[in-house]
Amino acid sequence: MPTLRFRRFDEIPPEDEEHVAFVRARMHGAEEISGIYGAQAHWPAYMSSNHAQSLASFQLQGVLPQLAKEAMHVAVSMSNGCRF
Amino acid sequence: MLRLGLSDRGLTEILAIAEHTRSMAAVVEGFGLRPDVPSPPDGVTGELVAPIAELEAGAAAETLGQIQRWAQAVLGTGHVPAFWRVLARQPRFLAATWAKNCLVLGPGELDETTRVCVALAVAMNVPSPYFSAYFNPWVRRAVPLDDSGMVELAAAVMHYVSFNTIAHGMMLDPPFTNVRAEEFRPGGQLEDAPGGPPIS
Repeated sequence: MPTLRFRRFDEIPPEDEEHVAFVRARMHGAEEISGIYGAQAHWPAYMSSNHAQSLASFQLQGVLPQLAKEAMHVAVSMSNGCRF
Repeated sequence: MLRLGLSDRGLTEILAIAEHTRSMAAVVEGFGLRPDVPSPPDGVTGELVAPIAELEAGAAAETLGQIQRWAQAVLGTGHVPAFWRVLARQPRFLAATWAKNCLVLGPGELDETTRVCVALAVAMNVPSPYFSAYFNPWVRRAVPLDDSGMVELAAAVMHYVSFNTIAHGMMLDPPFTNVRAEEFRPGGQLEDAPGGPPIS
């Protein structure tokens, strides 16, 4: 159970709609913004900025193989005691 | 990871590198060892347990000899890193730890690029200045990475730390528990698990 209840898409004010467009497309008609982005959706601009950072780092296909990036993600998460 | 085709053993290899790096970093920080790769530090020594001189290794000489040859080939140093020379004060523990090190960071299901990137990422996250310096030349050689590539690696680490903090702070439940690698294979019940391809 998350600390804050996940926000529903219909709770997003019109002025923040642009910030949630990427997650709306990803969740295919879900009513609630769940998961790691759901934890940020109470501040849509923040969620959107983290998504942009993700696209430019973890999800960027640069010189590091994707397997290495995912392995780093798992290892850092283990090291931080992250249950998620 | 399992979605990318790694086996249960491969995931355990990642765990092993993470815990091994963290445990070594605890000793280094506890004894105040300064980074000594690629070169030993200048100035007054402040280590709380002094590294032994290679010529005074005694019962640890054989293991230190192996480490010296490895360090020269992989890290590009002419000396045995201080971490190993501190452990040499307990030769049996040095030998056991070096053997584990060779197993955990040696050939396995993970390729060398993945293994050493994992080790550096954990060292940066701990944070361990000593092991961040120690793994730096190895990553640069094995991947290989230039400064731009190193920043790509650092950017990924930043992202993981950010999202770990968010997930922990908001107490998110894990999306997967009690799984096996075969469940992510074609036909498995998690074949369609979320996670998209990389973005170019």
